[in-house]
Amino acid sequence: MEQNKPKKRINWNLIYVLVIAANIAFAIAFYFLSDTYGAF
Amino acid sequence: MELFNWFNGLTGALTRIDWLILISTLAFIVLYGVYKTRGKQTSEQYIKGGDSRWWTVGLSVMATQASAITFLSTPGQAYTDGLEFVQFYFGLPIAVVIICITFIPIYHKLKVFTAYEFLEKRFDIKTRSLASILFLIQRGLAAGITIYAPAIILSAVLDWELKYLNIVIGILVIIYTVSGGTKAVNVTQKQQMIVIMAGMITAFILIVQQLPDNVTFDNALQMAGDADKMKIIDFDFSLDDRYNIWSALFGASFLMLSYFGTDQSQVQRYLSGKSVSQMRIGLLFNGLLKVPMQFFILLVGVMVFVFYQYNSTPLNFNPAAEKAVLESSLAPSYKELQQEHEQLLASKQSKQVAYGDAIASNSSNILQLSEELKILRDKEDANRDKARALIAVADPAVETNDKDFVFINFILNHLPHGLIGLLLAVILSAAMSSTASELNALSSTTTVDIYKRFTGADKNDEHYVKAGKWFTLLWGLIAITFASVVSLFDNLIQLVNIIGSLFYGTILGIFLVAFYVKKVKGHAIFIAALLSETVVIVCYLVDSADNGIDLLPFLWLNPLGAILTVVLAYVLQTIQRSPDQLNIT
Repeated sequence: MEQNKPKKRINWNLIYVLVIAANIAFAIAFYFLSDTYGAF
Repeated sequence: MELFNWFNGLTGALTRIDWLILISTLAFIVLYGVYKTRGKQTSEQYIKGGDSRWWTVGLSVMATQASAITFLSTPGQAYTDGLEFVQFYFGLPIAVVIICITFIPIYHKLKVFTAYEFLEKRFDIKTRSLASILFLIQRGLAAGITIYAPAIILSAVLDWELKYLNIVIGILVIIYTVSGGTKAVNVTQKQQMIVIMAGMITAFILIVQQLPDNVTFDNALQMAGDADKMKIIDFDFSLDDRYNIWSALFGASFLMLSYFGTDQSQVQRYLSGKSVSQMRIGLLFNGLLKVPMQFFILLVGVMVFVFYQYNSTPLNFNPAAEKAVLESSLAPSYKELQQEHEQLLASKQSKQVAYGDAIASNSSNILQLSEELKILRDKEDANRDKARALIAVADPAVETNDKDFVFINFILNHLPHGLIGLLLAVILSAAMSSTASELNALSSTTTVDIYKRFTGADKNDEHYVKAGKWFTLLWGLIAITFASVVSLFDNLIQLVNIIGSLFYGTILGIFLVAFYVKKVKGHAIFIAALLSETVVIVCYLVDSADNGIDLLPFLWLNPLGAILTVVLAYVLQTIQRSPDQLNIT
């Protein structure tokens, strides 16, 4: 039974995109944080 | 005996509870590393680790990169320059994604123990030897600095004997790294990261709590913003500006790609992963958490800045520098500056209280008070510059730039006992974790790429485990010796850092060709690497000479070395009539 179970495949491309997207989100958050506290 | 007397004489900033926490934390880490790796190991287990899950890989990669200087220097950097240093780390996620896509599957498929082993499979023995010898030179020297850099700061502020501190840090690392190899390094780095994060979070909470009652976290950020500490992102492109988003995305990405993809002290961390998936997730964990983590450490520095607007600071944060000038003939001039500094602090602090009240009550004079404070801070900075100039004349060997001493000064003077011990454990844990990775990687490269490769692979497995242990011990002793003599030579630290960075671009270029330019063979890449390294060194020498010519800022030499190696290798391979003749393998 166990052997017939299809192996879960990780969608690596999606994970890479999510990691980069998270960092873009950090950059945007930092931009607004700088702006809020008068850096620009 | 001398060591015993020194230990008995330790007094000052630390109480028994600090010593208890510091010694028990460090002893636990060392004993845990030895205990978890007891028993016989194969060379696969000793050198490669081999069965780590993603969180062990991820924390190990993080702990390797975060040296003691990260926790001493980064808050000090934010104290003086604000948060913009965080941009440098935006290159990291790009680099780890590239490594996950290309480097990891190939390293795993070829079952290599070191990154340089791959270069022989792809090119030839001379390219492998060139890369591994460059690594051994730069890391061998850097390991000494990893011990020395925090030791010199701690010895200055705590009045500990520098040579013993070097020896103690070195020996603690040698014990578990020799005994348990890569696995011991990995398991101890998990504990070290827990200690580091627990210490930094507690310190942050206590700093914010120690601000005056009417200063909320939001108010503190506004004060930092008014003092130009809150500029995090800079979109203006400038080659001269060290930290802007463009130099991070381009220059720092190349640097991070070299560091994580080709430096054995990092490659060894993720090669210990159980599978390709575990290695990838471990690295991506860093791609996700590194930027917020660095931001947090910088934010600690910004909060220390706000705290010191209400509290007294020394004229120079390095006690060794103050001692040097006060014991010289320039003492009267320095004391005059100190008096001026005290007066400035008194007026700044009273103005700061009024400014804090104005922000809390949102009154109309915030801007005016902020401007007045700025003038006082400028005067204070000018005074500090004069003090530095005096110190430099009094003792040219002493460090006048006191940025690295700001956070440790805060820890020792404003945190409760117990936590001081914990924060010192944080700093020493970070020193140990980076040094352990370096010794471990130096030993693996010496065993696999030099000893095993050139003496013939006819010895049994146990022989190579033993060799690995002896090489770890040898590199540990070299690091301690180097840490002990580094202060005797002017500018040696700077030289070591420069040597490391000058080779990084070219080594990355070799690996990029290996992975992405299939056509290029051994001879072409070897000659291209030598040529591009010459160009990088010439650029650096022209830049550093006092001739008014500025070719490229330091960070940009990495992309230059890498791109030049790739282009030259391609051109050299193309212009040869018969590519086969180029390949000696």
